[in-house]
Amino acid sequence: MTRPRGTRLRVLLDDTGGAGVVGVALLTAAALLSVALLAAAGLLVERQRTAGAADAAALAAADVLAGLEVGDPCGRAGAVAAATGHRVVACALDGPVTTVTASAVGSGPLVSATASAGPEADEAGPGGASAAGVYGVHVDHAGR
Amino acid sequence: MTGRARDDAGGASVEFALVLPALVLLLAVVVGAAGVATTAVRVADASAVVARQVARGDAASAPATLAELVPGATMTTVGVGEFVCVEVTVDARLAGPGTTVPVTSRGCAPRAGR
Repeated sequence: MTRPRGTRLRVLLDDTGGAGVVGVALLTAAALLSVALLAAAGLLVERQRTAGAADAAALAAADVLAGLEVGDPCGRAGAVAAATGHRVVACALDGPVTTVTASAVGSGPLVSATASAGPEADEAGPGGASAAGVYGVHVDHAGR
Repeated sequence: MTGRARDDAGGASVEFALVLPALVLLLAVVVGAAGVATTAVRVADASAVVARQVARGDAASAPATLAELVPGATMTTVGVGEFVCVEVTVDARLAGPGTTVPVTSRGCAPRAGR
């Protein structure tokens, strides 16, 4: 609109069109950055869900170890995790304490959370867990 | 040369005026989505905590726990076999008033004390 009339050659040579390319590039970069940020936010949400599943799975396995439930501790952890669409990728038993790593089905190793459950230190006497023991849950946020 | 410089300057201003609203809109969407994601994280946490509470036989105080964790959220409890599942829903605000999106999360815990 600000171009002088009758200067077709100058119009071809000047940078007015180039500025449009810069604007489009800027918008594209901003849009890509936004998409990346939103994807990261989605992963954080999924991680919180996975942490909840890992907590529940670890508690269920600890219940079996404490004699409150019967069955296989890690199998029980897997069943609990499956209720919210998660799976157990690691399950370790250390005395009355269970440590379970869960991840969302289909998410691969991208999102996982680890939780430990067992009797609180005061309750875990030489005999192991007391059946009425209070259970503490610790979520390890070192998981990816 | 001076003519070209003037053309460039005008082009850049028009360009800026066209791009700026789009950038501002994009920024608003990103900020709003970040807020929704924050709410979603809290809802996810609350669904797991409340499900555990209900499954452990303390359903009576579950609404109070939920109100503390996510004010304004509603919950529905579903028994799925040996599990107790709780679905927590809250309306999260994306931008201004009227632009709310429902955020839901489901938490499950095995029934205890059978």
